[in-house]
Amino acid sequence: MSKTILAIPSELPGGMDAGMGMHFGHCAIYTIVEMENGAVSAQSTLASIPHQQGGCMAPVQYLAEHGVTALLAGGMGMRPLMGFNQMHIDVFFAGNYPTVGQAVEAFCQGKLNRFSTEQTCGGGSH
Amino acid sequence: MKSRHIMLQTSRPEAWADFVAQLHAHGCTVGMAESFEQCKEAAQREHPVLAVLDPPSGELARSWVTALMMIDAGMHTAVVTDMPAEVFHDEMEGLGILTSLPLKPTAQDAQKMFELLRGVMGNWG
Repeated sequence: MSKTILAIPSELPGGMDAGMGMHFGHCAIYTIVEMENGAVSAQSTLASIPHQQGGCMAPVQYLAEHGVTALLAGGMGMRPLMGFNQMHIDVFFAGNYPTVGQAVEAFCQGKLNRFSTEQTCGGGSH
Repeated sequence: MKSRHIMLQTSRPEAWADFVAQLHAHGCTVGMAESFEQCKEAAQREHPVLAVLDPPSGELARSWVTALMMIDAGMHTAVVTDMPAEVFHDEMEGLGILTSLPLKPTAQDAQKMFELLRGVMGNWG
């Protein structure tokens, strides 16, 4: 049995109907979706954490500590992307889906591509 | 306890005496690397908590920080630059650089950098 724990940066209040939080480092909340054998088995929310300039690895570490194995994101800086890669957490680009539920559905259907360094964006505090 | 080892890459070590002394005063060890190649090798071997880079030009700063990020994204970076702060911030977007440093870094600059580092290191001390 394969299990994936997805984190999706979200607008408040989180959940499948919430809008995507389009920047990983500054989202209001994370929606957490557990998937087993390709199907959603549970969902919850996880508070985001503040961080300061240069501290963009804090949310990466935070999600890793919560068991997250994959992230669906619309935008992030290069350092957190490298951090996720080095922690073996898969990151997929879902910036063209307006809601969390649509992004998760696209992930389930294998429509999402891995987030590349070319897609990383700015912000020294990210 | 988390590492307090800092790597300093510079070709002009004489300019850093006060800066390094201030870091020592906070219990940090400071490794010196003259070239960026030496810095990368040391980063792989010693896993410093922070690398301070003194590149010969602003154009190199971004590629050097990126190269260190590929080795360990958890390693913090600080970069010497003569760019104005806003320009530097725009040029280095997305790299998560802890701080820029002036060409003539002082003990006060080391203190500020240390405080920033402590701020992002949680219970580092």
